[in-house]
Amino acid sequence: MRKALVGCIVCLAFLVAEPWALAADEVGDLFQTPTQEVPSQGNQEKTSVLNDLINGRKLLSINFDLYAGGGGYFGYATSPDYSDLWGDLDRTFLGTMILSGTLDLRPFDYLRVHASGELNYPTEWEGTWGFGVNLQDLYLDYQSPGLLSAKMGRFSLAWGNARILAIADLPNRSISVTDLPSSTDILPSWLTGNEPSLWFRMALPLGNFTSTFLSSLPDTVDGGIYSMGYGSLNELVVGKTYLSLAGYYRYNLTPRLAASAKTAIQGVDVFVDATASFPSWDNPLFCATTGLYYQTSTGPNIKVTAELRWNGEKPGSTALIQDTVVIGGLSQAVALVWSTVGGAPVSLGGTWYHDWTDGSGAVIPSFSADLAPLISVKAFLPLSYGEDGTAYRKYYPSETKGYLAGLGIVFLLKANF
Amino acid sequence: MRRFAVIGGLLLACLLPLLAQTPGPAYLKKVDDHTNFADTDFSADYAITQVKPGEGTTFNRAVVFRRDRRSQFLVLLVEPVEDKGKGYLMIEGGIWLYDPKDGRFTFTSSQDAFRNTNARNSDFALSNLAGYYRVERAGKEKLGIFDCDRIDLVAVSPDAPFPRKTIWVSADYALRMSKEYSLSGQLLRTVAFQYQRLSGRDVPAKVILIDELKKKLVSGVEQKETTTILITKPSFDVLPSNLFSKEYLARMGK
Repeated sequence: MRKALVGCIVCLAFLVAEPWALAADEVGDLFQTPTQEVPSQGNQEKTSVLNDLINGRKLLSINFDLYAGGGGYFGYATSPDYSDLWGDLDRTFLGTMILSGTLDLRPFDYLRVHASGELNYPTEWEGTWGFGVNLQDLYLDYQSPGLLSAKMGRFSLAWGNARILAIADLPNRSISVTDLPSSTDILPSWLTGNEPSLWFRMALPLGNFTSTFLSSLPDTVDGGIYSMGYGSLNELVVGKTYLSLAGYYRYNLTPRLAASAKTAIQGVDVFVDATASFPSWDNPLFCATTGLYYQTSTGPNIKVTAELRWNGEKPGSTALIQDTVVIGGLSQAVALVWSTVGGAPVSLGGTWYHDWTDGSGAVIPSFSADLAPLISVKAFLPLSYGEDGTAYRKYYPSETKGYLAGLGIVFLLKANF
Repeated sequence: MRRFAVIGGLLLACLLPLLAQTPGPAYLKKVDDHTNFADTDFSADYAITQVKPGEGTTFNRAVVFRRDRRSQFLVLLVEPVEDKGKGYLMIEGGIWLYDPKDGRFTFTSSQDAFRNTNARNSDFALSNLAGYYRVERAGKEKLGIFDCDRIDLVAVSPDAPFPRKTIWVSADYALRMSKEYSLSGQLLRTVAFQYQRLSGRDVPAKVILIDELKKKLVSGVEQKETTTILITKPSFDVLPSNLFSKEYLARMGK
């Protein structure tokens, strides 16, 4: 009887103390002290995080990262002769040190000069024993006291929504991207930014509407001042809907218009990009890409995208369609990357391209792992399929590093100072 | 007759304060007004520490800018270094996530977890208890030194972050604690607040968020995933108009 009574009292005590049961310690502590005044810090303006953010930027800041990477790419650029598989195997060994640096100069609050680049030696193990220089960014960035901002120099930009089968990225379609050297970094292209180029960009955000003017800058490769391009991107955000209308023209290339829309449905970005190109004004050609993009916000760190493109531009049909997307008709791409698999410093991913018109495609699974705080290993295994002469047997996606089938494995040692 | 009028008047005088304190939409509006900064901009430094039982601790630091009168916020990540420049921007009712690595904006939901912590994106946004919930039940309860109203809320809007909530509100309309439930009544999250006073207004100083579903037995003791947010350097300075724009976020992200 006595035990039952004690039991009842204990149960009752638990019930009464229910709000406290959740955290008798840390949470309970929050309710033990009255609200305190924020200590006076003199001029309040100097304590705001915005001022910290602005004033925290030094007049000049320079950072360096030093990498040492090595590994090898092994594969077949074309179908091998099965009687001599070893002989046909392309073997590229990499071993390089890369000094990567960034420079920020802020002579005034409204002006910034930014530069970043890499110096590597040697460029390749089996290549020349020389220095390689890769200037990534070099630009002037101006922010007016009002809303207008302008940026001029070498930098990257991206228009449109699609990340893999991009068609509405009009300015980037008009520039020549040189073949990239064998890299010690293996990253799916859809997770990296576009290659930088020379641009002048001016943006005016007006509430939920932003208008951007863009022009390419004359460079020595593509014909100087006469080959400059001009474009405009106009974006409107209404709730969870993004709409844009863009146009771009570069001398001797096809004038194009692009319309894009994006919204979110059940946490998934859903988008469509469409373009009209005008090799002649009475004969517009159309392309469209629709797709999904999703990244988890909790649990496993996963990013996934799926895109379907219909390319109605016909390469070779007119001299002006020289900057067309080379794979015509209906094609798709699906890509996934899963970082910190099972909480371990391991990433798995892959991209699958498929051309529904001719049945060709490419699959590029990839893997990376941090072996130690400064040491990582990255690998990929590209495989293109299809009949000879089909789209993905002629045009390998950049992630294949030019291999029909192969294996790339790279070890990376990184330090920064 | 005159006696009845006097008694009636006295009764009314006694009842009026009681009626005024009965929680309803007007009461919730006062809680919202206490939480929000409708007549000023707000900025602060948020140090966000998440403890996962048996897995260790992760740390994020962000600077937060709010313009509640226009339902706008910008959260710019400062730490960890590899995520520096990522940001969340709420404009026009949508929340954008910017990643400087690919230079692209993606939509994110107010109900999504913030940086895989126990905080949600909605925790940085305008409080709208009066618009999202109706009072189901109310009572009195003491939390530490605070005499609180304990109010059970039921969502009336699909935009409400949780279908059901119980909140503890002190006499100054400060939200002291919130328990958030699923539609079936499963307790999902507990959030507790401590305030600091700046220029006569209450600003959160410390927020503890406990995920009631993610728990583990560590050395025989049940531990729950917990996120603690320390808010420092609060300021009501006027913020530039262009701060709440994608353009600004992309520039700051570089």
